[in-house]
Amino acid sequence: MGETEKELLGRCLAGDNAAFGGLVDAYQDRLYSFALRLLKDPAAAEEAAQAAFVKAFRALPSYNTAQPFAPWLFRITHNACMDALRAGGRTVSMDHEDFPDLPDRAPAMDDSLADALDGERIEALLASLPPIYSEALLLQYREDMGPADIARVMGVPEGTVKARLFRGRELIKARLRAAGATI
Amino acid sequence: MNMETGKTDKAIAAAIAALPYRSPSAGFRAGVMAAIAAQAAAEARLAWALKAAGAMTASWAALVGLAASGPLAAFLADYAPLALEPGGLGQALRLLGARAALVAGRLPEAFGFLADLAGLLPGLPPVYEIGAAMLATAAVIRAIGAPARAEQKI
Repeated sequence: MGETEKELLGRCLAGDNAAFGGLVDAYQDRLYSFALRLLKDPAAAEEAAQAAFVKAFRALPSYNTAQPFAPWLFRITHNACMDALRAGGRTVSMDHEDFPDLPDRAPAMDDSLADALDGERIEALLASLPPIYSEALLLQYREDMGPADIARVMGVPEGTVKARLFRGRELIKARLRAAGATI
Repeated sequence: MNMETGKTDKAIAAAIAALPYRSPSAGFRAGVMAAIAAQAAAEARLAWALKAAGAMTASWAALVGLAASGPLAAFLADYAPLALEPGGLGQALRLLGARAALVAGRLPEAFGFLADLAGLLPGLPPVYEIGAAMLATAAVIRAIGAPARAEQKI
């Protein structure tokens, strides 16, 4: 994909608009899934992903080819999703930055609960998190990005990304424990 | 990080990594490409409009230059011989001052004419306004330039 992506980018930067279709093919599922998991609304996610592609096309001349393309594209999608969340009246700032109440020493997790983390369950758990945590977790584990790239996407320092990843994982564990207590 | 925490973190990471990608609706790609094409068309229209405005400005400047060339030639024909005579420069400057005062006296009349003309135009598309303004400019230049020769001869 690397060579192909570079070739497509080269053609796009040379003014071949049709080559952008190849980039859309390559990234549409990733961007749409990312937007869907943040916005939790298929129509809004599709709109945000579409807006992100159009903005990316417009901004392509300013793209630094020395930087990886995916974080740049995800950054634009992040902005489109944040705009959509704000338009929907949802808080996306640091309101959730305070760590929710958790015990200093969490009790050991039941192995069966950790093993029971199937797709449906993790999807529901991610959906229950504030977007700043689910986004960091998705970029780290689903998109395989490091903290530096995630920081670029989310527009925050690397330290903040690491804190959000930790807090996101802790929130998931806390919810798993809470769910386990009622099982 | 104890072993249990490590195991749970790995389980969370693996579960998120295994999440399937969802696909947007069938028309998604076509929608993106249509939006891009529409944007390219809009940019092309803007470029065309800018070129048209540039061409109109240039033709306006050419028309103004053409209309001004007659009065300018007459002006030079009137003043150059006088200015070249010994002591004629001061006289030419005094005459210029007098002529400028006469032109200034005509300006309110010219502006009034333009204002009347502008009052007739709001219902017309901008291109007619621009065309009319070009003609009005040429007419004003002719009106100011031509009679001035007679004034200067008095």
